[in-house]
Amino acid sequence: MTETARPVPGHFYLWSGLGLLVAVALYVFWQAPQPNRTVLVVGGYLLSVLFYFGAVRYPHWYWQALVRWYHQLGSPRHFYRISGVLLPYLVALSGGLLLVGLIWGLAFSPPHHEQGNSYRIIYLHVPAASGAMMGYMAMGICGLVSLVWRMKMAEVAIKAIAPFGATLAAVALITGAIWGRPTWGTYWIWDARLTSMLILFFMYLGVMGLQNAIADPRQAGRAASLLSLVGIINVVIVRYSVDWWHSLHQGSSMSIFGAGGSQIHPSMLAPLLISMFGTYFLFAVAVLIRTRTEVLWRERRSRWVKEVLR
Amino acid sequence: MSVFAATLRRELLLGLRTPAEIINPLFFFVVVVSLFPLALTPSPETLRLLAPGVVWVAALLAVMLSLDSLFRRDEECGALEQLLVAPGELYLPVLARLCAHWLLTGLPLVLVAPLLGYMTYLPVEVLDTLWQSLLLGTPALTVIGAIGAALTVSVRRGGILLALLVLPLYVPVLVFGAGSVGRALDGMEVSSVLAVLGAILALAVSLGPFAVALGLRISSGD
Repeated sequence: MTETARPVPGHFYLWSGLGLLVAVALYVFWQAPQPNRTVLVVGGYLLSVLFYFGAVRYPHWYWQALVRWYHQLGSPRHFYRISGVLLPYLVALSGGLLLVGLIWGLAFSPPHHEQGNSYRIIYLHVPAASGAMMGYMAMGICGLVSLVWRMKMAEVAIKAIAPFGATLAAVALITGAIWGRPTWGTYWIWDARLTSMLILFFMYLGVMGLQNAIADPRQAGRAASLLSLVGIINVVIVRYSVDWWHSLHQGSSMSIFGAGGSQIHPSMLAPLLISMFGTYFLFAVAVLIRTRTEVLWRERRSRWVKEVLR
Repeated sequence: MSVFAATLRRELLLGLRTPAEIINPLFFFVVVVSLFPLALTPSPETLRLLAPGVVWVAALLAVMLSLDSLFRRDEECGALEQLLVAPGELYLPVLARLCAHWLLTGLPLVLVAPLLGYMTYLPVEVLDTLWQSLLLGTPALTVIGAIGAALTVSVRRGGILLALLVLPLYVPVLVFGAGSVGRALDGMEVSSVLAVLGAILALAVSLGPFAVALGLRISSGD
């Protein structure tokens, strides 16, 4: 990159000052619980300043890097090379985070004042549930990319994401049932969150079913892209409709954390967040491995695959 | 004649000349609803409580089962291929097809629903909400289901697969549709819920035909 750095323009100071004001206002008036608020506001501010600073000083480099990455990730050969470099780090990262988070959470975090030790399944349940949600979002974005830019890799990624996302949704449902037995006295209740997770699971199954039913891989990939894109709109609407439906029935609303959302003590939140990030990286690892295998299979007649496999 | 009117006319004519396709979903709807008193109980109190859900689920299944014939015949005779290679946007012809399909299969369900509601002991005041919610809900069901039908048109024996794809997408319509009737049964106001159903219908009708057209293009191997 021979691009020379531009001087920082005056409006940078203006906007970062305004941003600081917004951050302070958010910090003071936002009703979120304390540790989350600090992390979100300070982290968000720092990230946006970093991004803005970089984008203003080196716009050319930013844009070029984005475009180059995008194109390289879209080509099977470069994807295989880049993901091969990334994979060991991701494995180490996800293994380390999961090990730390799960051991901390399962063995060292304090017991819950009402549920005793049975609450510890949260360290499996919440990461699995949020991973399943994130996975569907990722699948929908891949669907959009595949339909708009006809990118082959995005179709392959959808095929790789669907089974692992379905597995995570199933893990979330099963651990939820196991957790529900001692706390609620039943394995299953028609709670809003449980119901929307069940529907998410069905939607993963739908994508997998469509993928399997069509013989031609390109056609199957594009069909699954459209379905997961439509599904993303549906996930959002299902979320609202199920909340409305649940408040209509107003039966057993046994929300553990109350209306405020995550009012979890920091000593429990830290291992939870660590295992959540561990699960995300595990998701990335699983998707990358499956995608790499699929890429090799689809490109098996090309020269670079023969060179790789020799 | 415009594309929309010509397609609508063709589809309506074809539908009216194969009346089984109109009568079968309707017959299915009536039979399924009348199975419930036999399976559960003939007691009016219980049936009245269950009626909104029973009628709505039966209507939903009837719409879903009718979808298989939406593109199948055109696919088999090659008319679908002609539609796809023809110049111009697919939006209007697809919308016309969906309109015709709803007029032939969805509208009869709406018209017969009050009778079924009456048979399941819904109070007469609630029957209004029943047909209004179905009037807003069934076209949305047709459009959403058509996306699945378009994607599975090239799959042989795609009926079960279609159900697997489409039923999760039907959840919001079912929740608000059956919910509105349930609220009416409890004596609460329903206009807000019907407005949500209308919003879902507007979303489905405005964006749905694009997705259906894309699905048809994908299925034809384009």
